[in-house]
Formats: sequence, structure tokens, C-alpha cells
Amino acid sequence: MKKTLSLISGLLVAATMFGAEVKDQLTLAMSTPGPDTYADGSPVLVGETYLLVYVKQGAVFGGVQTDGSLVDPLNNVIVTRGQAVEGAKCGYKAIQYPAATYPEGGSWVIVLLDTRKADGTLGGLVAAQGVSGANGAVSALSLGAAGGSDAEGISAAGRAPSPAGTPQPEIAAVQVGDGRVNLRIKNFSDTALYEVQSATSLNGGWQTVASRVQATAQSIVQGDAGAELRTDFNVPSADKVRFFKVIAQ
Amino acid sequence: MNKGWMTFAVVAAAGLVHAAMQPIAGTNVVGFVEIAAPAAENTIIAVPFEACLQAGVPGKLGDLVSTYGLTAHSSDPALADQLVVLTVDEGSPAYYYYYNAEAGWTAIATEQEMPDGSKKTLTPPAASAFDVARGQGFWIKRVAGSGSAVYVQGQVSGAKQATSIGEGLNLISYASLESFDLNAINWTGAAGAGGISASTDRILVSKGDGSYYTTYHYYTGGSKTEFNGKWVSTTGTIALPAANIPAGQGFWYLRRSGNGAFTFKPDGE
Repeated sequence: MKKTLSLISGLLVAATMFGAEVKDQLTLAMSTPGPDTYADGSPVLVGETYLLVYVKQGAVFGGVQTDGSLVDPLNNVIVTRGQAVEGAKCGYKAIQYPAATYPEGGSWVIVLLDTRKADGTLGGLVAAQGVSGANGAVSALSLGAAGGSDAEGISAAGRAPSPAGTPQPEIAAVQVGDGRVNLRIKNFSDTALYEVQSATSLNGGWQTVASRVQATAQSIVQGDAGAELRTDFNVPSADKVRFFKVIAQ
Repeated sequence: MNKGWMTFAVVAAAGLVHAAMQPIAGTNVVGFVEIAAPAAENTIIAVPFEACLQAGVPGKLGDLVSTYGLTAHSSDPALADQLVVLTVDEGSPAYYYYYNAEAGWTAIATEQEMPDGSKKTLTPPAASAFDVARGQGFWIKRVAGSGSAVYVQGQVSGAKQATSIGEGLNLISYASLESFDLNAINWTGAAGAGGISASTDRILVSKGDGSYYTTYHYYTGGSKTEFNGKWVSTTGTIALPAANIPAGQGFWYLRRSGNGAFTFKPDGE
């Protein structure tokens, strides 16, 4: 019994969302108790992005794409954005809205985005996401995250997909030397995130050697056939043979 | 209506719908292979890759041989590593290129003596325009003081190799990305005999230091039936080759006169 109460208590503080009716205006506030985490378990950085999304009745939250847009914009609406504060949690943010704007029967989710670039700074494309949700119709705040999470916080462990229409990337060139590899990608999109995988045999053992590769002023170079996306990374210098492939997430 | 704050209970609920949005795989796989190429020696190398920069068209000499670790010179070809490519263009047996750090592989003009005694200057096409088919071999000449390895690089091909072999000497290889056994691939079209004869096709493989060759003969129809359809060494007694050939290493194929041409299809039809 004690264990059950403890669990419920923990769940109650895991994420909170408050609503108050003032005439025809409703007030909604979002925050999370934290600590919220990235997929690798590290706490979210101060300044990381949260979204408050309204999900229409009968629909589900479809997720966020790498460019920050919604997968299902017909049934999901980004209502406001928040930022992570000290404590690896979403800072308190309140909004007011006409009751008719987001009718009862729909649900709410708080979405944590992972916008870290390859250098660790924030502000890049969306690599991953985690979601908690509240469903006012059943008076229940739901917490969940793609890829799994516990009730203590949101985990941005779910992959953010590339927007529809993202072309298949192609490796345009590779140069090696003393364990350093320079690889160029053509047919890239500036709204997609790329990952380079490498192996010493074509039969398997592919491992990620570069991730969160994205178009920036520094990473775009001019190739023979137009713009190319450049990335540099290391491989063991003793390699006699090595293969590479690129994937848009 | 309740005007107070409402606090909601928490339940697990993953609501993301991503099932139909899989990662987008790239259209190609590229790679590199390190090949032993000692300083002050000539080594036969062969590119097991297709073009990297231009999918669907032949590889270019200038793209496929990495310049990493090579010895360059700004003007004197004799002081730089060189590539030598067999050709029959304009009656020339070979084109020469040297590595210039600024310009990359740079063509070397050679002087040809014509039958009438006149001289003709032959300038090879640019390395960036010279087609190199997968499986074709060529030399790298390394100057003294160079490193001991070179890299070939490019796009992994899923296509079966088909390399034309004509009468006389052919510089080729099996475009494998791993070391290979001569007798583990298809040699339909090779001409042999039940022993060493003037009509037996031969293969000459560098021993690895760039200066010596091991000769293998194609054996067919002899009394040693276990060797039928195999390349055998004939030093002392007939035996199968002992060592595999590293990926990226080329070899000579001597097609005996009178045997005609055939297409080498090591992966089968």
C-alpha cells in the first residue's frame, strides 16, 4: 500500500498542467517537474525547447519532424513553446485562450525536443523528442515518451523523422588520411539530419561515426555537381579497409 | 464550474505515430582500401570501386587513387610518385602521371619516336578525365622516401565484374573488397593444358615488394585431376597457390597468342 501511494505521488508531480476558467477564457500553464533527459540519459540543457501541443478529439499526437514542424498539422496544434530551466525541467509558462479555440474533448501534450547540434550546442534541427500528455476529458495528465520513459520526467528518446519529400542522400566523395575522414554528401536537405555509419566489412557491424550532420554555413561546400554537405570524423588509423553509408533520419 | 486549479493524474501514454516514417537510406556505399606500395618500387594496383563522384559513369583515375601520403613535387615528375596506365591510344603503350600537390595527378608529356625517325610529343588526357574500369590494373611508381601504402577509394558496386582480356599481356585484378583466392573465382574462358605448354595462359602476381613475380599456369585436362580448372604454381612440383591476393592488388594476365579474347567474369554470369 505504501509503495502504491509513493508511486502515485511520484506520478502526480512528474508533470503538471493547470487549467482555470475565467469567463470564456481558460488559463493553461505548462511545466515539468524534471529531471527531463535526452535519449542518452543526460539532463536536458538549459534553454532546450518544449512545445505545448493541442491534439484534437479522436486524434493522437503524431510527433515533430526534424525541422520542428508537426507530422500531423491538421490534428495537432503547437500552442506555445517553453524552455528548459535549471533542474532539467520545463520552466513554468502560462497562457490564456478562448475556450472555443481548443475545445474540450481534445488533449494536451508537452513535447521535449532534442535540438543539440553535433558540437553540443542548442538550436539545431530536432534530433529526438519525448512527450507527456494531459487529457482533460478524462481529467488525467498523461506522461509518455517515444522510446520509453519513467514517470519521473520526460525522455527525449524518440527519433524525429525527416519531413516528407526529403530526397535520398548520396555520398559524393570520401577522402581518408591518418584516421581522419572527410566525407561529402549530395542530394541533401537543409531540413534533415544525417548520420554516417561505417564498417570494416560489408557483411555487417555498421556503427555510427558521425551524427546530427546538418546544413550550416560552415558545413556546405561547393562540389562538382553543386552544393555538398561536408562532415569530418575519425576512424581507427590502422584500418586497411572501411566502408561508409549515410542515412537521413 | 470549478474555477480552481486542476491537477491531472499521470499515466504512461506514448502517443507518437512514426511507424510509416522510416529513416531514409542513402543511395550508395563508399569505402577505401589500403594497398601495400613500397617506396622506390613499382606496384600493380587495381581499383575495386566504381566512381564516387559520378554514379553510373566510369571511375576517373584522378578520383580513385587517394593522394594521402603520396610524395608530391611541383614540377619534376622524377621526384614525385607516379601512376602508369596501360593504353593503346595513339599507339602509346602507357600514360604517365605524377602527383603535384597543387594540381593533383598531372599528366607527363612523353616523346615518341616514329617509324620515320621523327619525334612526336604525346600528352595524356587529364587524370580527371581518364576512365578507369573496375578491375583494371595500373602501376604506382613510388620514389625513394615515400611511405609504404596507398589508398584507393570509391563507390561500392553491386554489379558483377566483366573485364575484357585480349591476347598478350593484360593488367587486371578481381575487383574484390577483400583478399581473394585465385582459385575461388570463375575463370571460364581461361585457356589451359594438362601441364605447362606454349598455349597455357599465365598469371603473374607480385610477391608484395613490387619487384618479383610468382607465375601461375592454368591447368586443364591433365592427369592430376584435382588441379583441373585451377591456377597452379610449377616451382618444383605442381601445387595450388599458397597465398591470397590482397584487395586492390593487380596482376598480369598473359593471354597466349592464338587463344583469342575472352571476358573475365569472376563473379559468374
